[in-house]
Amino acid sequence: MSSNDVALIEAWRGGDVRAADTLLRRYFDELWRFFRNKVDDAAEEMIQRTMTALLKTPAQFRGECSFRTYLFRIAKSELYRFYRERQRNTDRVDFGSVSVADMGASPSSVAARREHERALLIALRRIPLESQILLEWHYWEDLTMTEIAQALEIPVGTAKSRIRRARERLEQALHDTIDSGDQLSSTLQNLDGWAKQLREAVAGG
Amino acid sequence: MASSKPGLDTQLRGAGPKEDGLEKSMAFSAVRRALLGAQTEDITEDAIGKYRVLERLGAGGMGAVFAAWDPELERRVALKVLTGGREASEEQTLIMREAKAAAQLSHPNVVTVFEVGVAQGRVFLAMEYIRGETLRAWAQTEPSASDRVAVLLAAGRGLAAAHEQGLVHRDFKPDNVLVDDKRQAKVVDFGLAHSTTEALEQTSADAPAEETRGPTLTQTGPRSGTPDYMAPEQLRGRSADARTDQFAFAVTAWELLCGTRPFEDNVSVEAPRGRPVAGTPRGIMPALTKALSEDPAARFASMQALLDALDPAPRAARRNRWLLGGAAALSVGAVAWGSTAAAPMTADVITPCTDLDAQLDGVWDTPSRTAYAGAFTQADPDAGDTLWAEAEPTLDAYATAWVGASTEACLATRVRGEQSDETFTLRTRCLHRRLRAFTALTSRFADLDAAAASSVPSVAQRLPSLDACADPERLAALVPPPPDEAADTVEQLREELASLNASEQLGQYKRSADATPEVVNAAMAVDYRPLHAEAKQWEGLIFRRMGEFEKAQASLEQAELHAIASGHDHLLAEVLGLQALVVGNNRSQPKEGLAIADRAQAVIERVGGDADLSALLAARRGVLHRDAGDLQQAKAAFEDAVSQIEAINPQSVQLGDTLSNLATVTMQLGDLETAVDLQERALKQFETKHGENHPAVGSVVANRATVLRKLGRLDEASESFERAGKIFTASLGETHPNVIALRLNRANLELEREDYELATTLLADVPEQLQKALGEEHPWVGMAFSSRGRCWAERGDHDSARGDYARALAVLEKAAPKSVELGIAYCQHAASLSVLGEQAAARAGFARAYAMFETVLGDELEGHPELESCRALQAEVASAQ
Repeated sequence: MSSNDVALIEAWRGGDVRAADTLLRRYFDELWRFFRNKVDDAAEEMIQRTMTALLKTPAQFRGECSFRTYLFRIAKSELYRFYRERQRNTDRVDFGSVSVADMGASPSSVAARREHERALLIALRRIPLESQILLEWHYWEDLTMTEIAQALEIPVGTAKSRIRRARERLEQALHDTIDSGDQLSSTLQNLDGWAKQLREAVAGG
Repeated sequence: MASSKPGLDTQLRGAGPKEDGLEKSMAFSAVRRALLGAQTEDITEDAIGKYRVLERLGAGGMGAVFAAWDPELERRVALKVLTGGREASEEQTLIMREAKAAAQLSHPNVVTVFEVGVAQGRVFLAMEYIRGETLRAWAQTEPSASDRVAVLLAAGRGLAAAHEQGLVHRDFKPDNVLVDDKRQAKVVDFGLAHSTTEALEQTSADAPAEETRGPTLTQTGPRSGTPDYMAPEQLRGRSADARTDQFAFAVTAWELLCGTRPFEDNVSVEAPRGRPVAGTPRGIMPALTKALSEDPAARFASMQALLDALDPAPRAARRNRWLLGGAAALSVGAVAWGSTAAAPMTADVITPCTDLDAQLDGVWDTPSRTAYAGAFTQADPDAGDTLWAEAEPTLDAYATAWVGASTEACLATRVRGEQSDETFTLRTRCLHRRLRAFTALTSRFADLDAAAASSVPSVAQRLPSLDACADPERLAALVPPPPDEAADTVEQLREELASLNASEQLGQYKRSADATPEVVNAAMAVDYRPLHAEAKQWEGLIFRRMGEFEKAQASLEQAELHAIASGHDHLLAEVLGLQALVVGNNRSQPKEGLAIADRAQAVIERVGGDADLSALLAARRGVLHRDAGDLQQAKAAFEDAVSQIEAINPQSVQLGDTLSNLATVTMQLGDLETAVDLQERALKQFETKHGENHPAVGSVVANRATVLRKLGRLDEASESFERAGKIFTASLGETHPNVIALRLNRANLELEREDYELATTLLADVPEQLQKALGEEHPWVGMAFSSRGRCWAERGDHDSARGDYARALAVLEKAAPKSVELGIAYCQHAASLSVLGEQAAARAGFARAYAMFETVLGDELEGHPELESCRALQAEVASAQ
């Protein structure tokens, strides 16, 4: 499968759109799940960026892990890059401590589901991003500890202890969410003074 | 909820992957299109199912159509491969079920479906291969009226046959009827639009331009494509049935016969508009009118019943029978027609009120309309025809309604004697003013440019209401006419004012402004005070447009006095409303502005209410509250305005303006999500109502840029600023405050992108220029100094920074003493002071900043981005010590 995927990328590089199409069809679901609960309306853009990154860096994949794991690693890098762009004013974003909710992505767009599931999804977004990714990969994508470690480029032992920590955080966040009972205030950490808007709008004539 | 560990595991797995069908498949198509571009439609295997693909025929939102070969039956087929739903989604299952039902149908006027299947994860339909073109394309060949009717009837028979089988088409339109080379009509794509609401969502997200190659054989269209042919109940989300097909058929027929669709939109259906081509049998249009009833129950009982009413062959036979039966039978026929016809056909009686349409000679008659059409094409070779096609029905309806209203006014007095001569005179004068506005607009068509042409459709919709001329209260408020000796001059000057106003509405601000002084001077020289009020009102309006706010205020104050003196009450209310905006917003005295708005409200009450003015005033209050620093009140006022406007007319252009302002306030309160939604609604409203280059669009684009920026979509934001800048510069000139302010906004964006060089270049003399244009104490001036200070600070020149910050504070403390912007300036000033070693002053500055944020933001304080940035800045300079 994975060599096949690499061949598809090569074919795509050579201009074969059918190969790109196949690749996208094969991995769209994974990427969709990955980005949906993290970037609100930018999921499409992020999937596109990830696919493009795949195209641009084909040589990096040498079969040391599954292609899927490799794809997740790229998706994660693109996600982090995206957040950094949003956070221009902060020199460095520590993804171990910043959660999606902190980054101004509000939970309002989470598809309405049963109440407790909603609470869970909201809680997932309140814990640090890396914790969220760890849990989702573990529970939703059924990645093994080894695969998670490879995708995050950390030792396996570290991955294990971080998953444990992530679960604790999630439980805590779940309690907080239920206690406070409402949505989070959006905190976009931005920016310099902003000129008032042009308001030609309410026209005279 | 349990949160023990096993419970959490289960919940986590359960909350995971869900098939969120439509949203996901739309995202999929979007990504696919973005990645692979136009090539996506070329992706197909050489074989689909058992069929060998020969050639691609066309593509649209719903999928691609190929010519293919069926090796088993050795025949050519048309193969439609649907995109969208992947794998065995519910959507696909539904489509397959419908398509299979359609495949049961065999009728000469329905394209036969041979097979429905799934190959490579995509649904395909193998269909009869038709050599021909779509009804839409065929109509371009200018067939005769009788050919048109024949083809329509044939397509109608196809629909009727399907209905008898219990099948509903759901998306009947000219693109779904094929006319083959023997002029046989065949209906295609039965039941493929399976759900109305979904179809509409699909339309907005997935509507690429239709593209076909060579003669169209089997046309593909977006799934249930345009709402132009949908029945009102279908648009409201109710399920489609045979009567919704009947409606769609009638819209199609109307368009084929008249060249335009009967309604601007099908949501609330009024009298259908348009005239059929010469030679269309009488009786066709009344029958179609009935099929176009808003209430499904008022349409024909079935498609077949409609066809019976339309079919000239049986009718000719009936007519012959009547002829044989003599005159008595003929009158029976006439009565029968009267029951379906929109207007009763009575014999002409000579009455005194018949020739009122003569007043439209040279303004709205066949030669002038032809000339207008030519002018549109000349103004914009690409879009002119479309724009005219959009504007003409609106104008024609207005002209017709005007003749109707004038005739009615005349009949009521001259024939029925139920109305006094005085009222008749008032109504006539009122209608005359309406005609003046209409004439002013159409006479501008002679020298249109592309930008002006693009705004004609929306301006046409804003022509003054004719209903007001039948409203006794409005009529009573009319000012007395000028003395006879001045009448001609007054009339001429009013015409000139109307013409200036039309230019302004078409976005030709400068041209309108240039011609203003001469007209106003002439008006002031006439001894008729109402005209003075009108002229000064106009002068104030155009001064404001050109950014000369002080002069605008002076003119409006004079207009107010003239209006009071001459009892010109409606005008007084309008003048005060605009004055409130100029004083409060443009001249940054929001408290005074709000007081003027209260006066305007009182005048509106005195004249017995005016829904339009009152809504406008609510919107302006919103602006003024915001300027006064009271965002919550501003939001409430804008929300009030939105609901008032929606109640009057949900299509109104003002709705876009107000939504846009509501979005801005919502954004300032920190709720970006809602702000983006509102912005999107506003933009949609605007893009359908205005052309691309209309100055009013510029404002929305500029506001949009701001939200995009706040959301971190910096590239899009930069693009939007550039677009807005171009639009404003074209219509307002380089030195208009709004153009300069845009530069300031762009500079701030570049600041955020940390391109301090570019920001510095953009800012250059912006603060000074703004000072010149707006006066010393305008908040924008303060903000510009503040931004330039930031440039210096970022580049390490804290001495220069301190200077600009100090200037910013001096301005803002006066111009915007309660504002987030002032808080920001305090904060940044303090940071620079801290770097320069003046710790005590810095501490005081930060304290002032936090106090300001607290005052302005109230409940919104905690977590507000500006507060957070300031804290971060303070921490940063503290750690540098």
